[in-house]
Amino acid sequence: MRKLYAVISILVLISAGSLQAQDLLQGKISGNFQLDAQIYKADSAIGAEDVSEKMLMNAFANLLYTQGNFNAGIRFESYINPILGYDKRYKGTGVPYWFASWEKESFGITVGHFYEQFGSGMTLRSYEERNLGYDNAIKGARIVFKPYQGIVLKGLIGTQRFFWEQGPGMVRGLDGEFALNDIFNNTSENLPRLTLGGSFVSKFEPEADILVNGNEILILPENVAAISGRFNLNHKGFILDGEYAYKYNDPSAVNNFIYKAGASTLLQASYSRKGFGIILSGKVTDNMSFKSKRTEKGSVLDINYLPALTRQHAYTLSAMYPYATQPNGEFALQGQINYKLKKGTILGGKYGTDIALNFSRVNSLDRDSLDNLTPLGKSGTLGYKTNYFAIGDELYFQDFNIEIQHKFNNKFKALISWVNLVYNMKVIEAHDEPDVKANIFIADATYRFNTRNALKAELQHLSTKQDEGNWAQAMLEFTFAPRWFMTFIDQYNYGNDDKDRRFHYPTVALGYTQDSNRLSVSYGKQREGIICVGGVCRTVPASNGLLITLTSSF
Amino acid sequence: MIFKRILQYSLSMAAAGALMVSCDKIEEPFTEKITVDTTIQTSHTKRVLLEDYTGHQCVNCPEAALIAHDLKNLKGDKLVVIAVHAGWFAKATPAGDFTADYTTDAGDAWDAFFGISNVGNPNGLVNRKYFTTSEHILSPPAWSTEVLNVLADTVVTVDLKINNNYNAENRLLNSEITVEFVKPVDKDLNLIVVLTESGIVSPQKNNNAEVGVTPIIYDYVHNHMLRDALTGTWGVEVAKAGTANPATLKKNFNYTVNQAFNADNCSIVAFVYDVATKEVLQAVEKQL
Repeated sequence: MRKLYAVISILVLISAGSLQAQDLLQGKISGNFQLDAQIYKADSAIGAEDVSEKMLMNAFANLLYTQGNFNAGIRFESYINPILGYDKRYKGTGVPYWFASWEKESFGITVGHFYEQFGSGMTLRSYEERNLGYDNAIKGARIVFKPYQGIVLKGLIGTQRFFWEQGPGMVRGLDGEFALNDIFNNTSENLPRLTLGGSFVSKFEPEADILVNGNEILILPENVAAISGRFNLNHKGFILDGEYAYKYNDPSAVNNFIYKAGASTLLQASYSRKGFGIILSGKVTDNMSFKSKRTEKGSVLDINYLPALTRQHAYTLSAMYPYATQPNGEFALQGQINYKLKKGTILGGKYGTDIALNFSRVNSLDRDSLDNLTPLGKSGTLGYKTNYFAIGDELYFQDFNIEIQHKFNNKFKALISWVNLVYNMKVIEAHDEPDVKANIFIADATYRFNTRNALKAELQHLSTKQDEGNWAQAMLEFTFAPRWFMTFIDQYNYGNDDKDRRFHYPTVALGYTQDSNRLSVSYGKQREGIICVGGVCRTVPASNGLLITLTSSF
Repeated sequence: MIFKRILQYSLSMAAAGALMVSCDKIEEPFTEKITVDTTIQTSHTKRVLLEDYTGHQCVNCPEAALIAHDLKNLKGDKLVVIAVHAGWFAKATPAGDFTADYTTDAGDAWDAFFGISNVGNPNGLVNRKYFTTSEHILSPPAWSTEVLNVLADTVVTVDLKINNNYNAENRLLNSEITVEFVKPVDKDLNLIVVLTESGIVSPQKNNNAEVGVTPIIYDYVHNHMLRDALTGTWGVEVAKAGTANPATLKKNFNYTVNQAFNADNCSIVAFVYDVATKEVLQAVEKQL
């Protein structure tokens, strides 16, 4: 409660200081709200245990006030108690996020909590991913300074969110971006557009006594810096961009307390014109985990973000084995081609056919030990030597997929897709089990009866000899626009080697929309899963029950 | 003109950056050796409790147990370790390598209360400190800092002594715990007394080849394993706020040691804690 008063008084003070009373009344208030409540029922077959509270709930609401160049906002969050699968440390209710910001001439000021990203995020990215329960908002101050056209300079300082508290490390960052064409006032289309950027990020964390190798205490750097440089070259459908980041010695639980410098290089080239697009990208990451708490291994308090160069699948079974970037080191390549078969051709039909081909592969880095006596990655040493010009032998992940979409007529459209993937369980999930080799087929068709009513049918199949074997999923969704929708899903693990575990996971959902309010109720079963981040594993328990979701905005 | 301005901004930014980056570059050697702690306090030695929340199916747990073991080697009797088998990874399977059930009622209750396996295993508590924040759960690399930090403050307000009387024939144990109030304490304090066992050989999952074979160490030696709580989960009252403390207080516990436990490897662990904050003030361990 004290926090809330503090927030309100700060907002009032700031508003009063920079705005006239009558201006304040002319501002605009907007907001949104989401509530997820789940009522649980034990189901011993699938391993859904009894939840003593019977019902769990996550809720949040954002309130945003805008008046000219002034913005202020708060976010209320409540987890009583957190829904299964969310970190229990979220338990509670409060206002973990509030801010005020304004722009005046070439300056923009933000105080309170904020999200920010420098370049591709390899040195700094704070963001929120509610569905994963992730939030590393920075609490402090940020200044954005635009001294001249095409130049944006940013400076920030703060600490990061750690559930209902702040992490122990202080984060300081500077970023500059220079759009050369704008600076030199030459925006002719015949000239390539070039943008350059650079950033410095430094964290401070007090010394600690960390024991390694039985009887050694680490001599730790209290200040750890990362720097990066980036470019973006853009000309008539061609884009070439890249970033290189370097991090000074940062012994941490994630890298097993080695003192080697970290580095990451990202390079991307793309070309697109009407009906055709191609993207090629590559990334080498070496020892680049950067957290504001050195003993933390879980997915909290990350200062930077290392994007995965793999496709994020939307269909349930294609997304069953998702890749997670390995911050300690990986060599990743991805290519994608999008092509549209022309309208009026045999294969293109009346509306054309969209084809997307995507391939990605991630391997280990090629590493050597420091000398004959030191084991690879030994704590309290430089760890290892990296050969950046070779690819490591171990395959972490590979995904080849093709997706074809065709609209037959005004009423009927369909999509088919095939995914072939290899998933390294030991590296991604820390389970010592064989690599999963899976083939996934998707067929998805939508038929519109009229402008209001539609039926969507989806069939998915995953075949693999590893892990839990084959899965099949069928879904039917009726939409009665603009108010109602109804979905039936059944996920069936019919290929499980253990015949007693060939379960069905059915779900029935009903949704109702009224303007910007949406209520959905679903009843069903969810399978058990294990999430491992940086060597700390927790289970997302199987569940059986009723889920109610309400979203509303104004 | 434009060039000059860009140069100015770039330079001022680089200067500000260099100033702010203030990076500490550490040169080799990166570590300092520490020696075994042989200092003995004349009276009232400060001791610290480390609880390692673990499970036989937790692949990263042997690595954590090794840290606890190394700390114990360095700090000797000043460090009291309890390995609490609780949570999903501690579950016994109906068949296979992990049929043994090492969970206990007290361990399950503590794990649920402190929220440890929900966050993940391995993780631990040092003196159950910081319970009022979300920072009470300490990852294994953070244990040493907190253990050394607690021991650095040598002031003892409440001291504990154990006197065990064990009859190997009828397996009856009488454990007498002496609580000495060295300084007056105006708080609600409880005493928890548990039985731990070391030297239990049983399979353990492992994924760190430096620690042992992967993926399963069949002859893994489990030490400091929590077996039972003689006082129940939350202990017995030894001090009440607003009531004067006696100089000493004796608590006696009569207990029959389970046939399945090897009494030669069993110890009694006692610790006293502040009921309001859950923080442990003193701990002690003694073999049967």
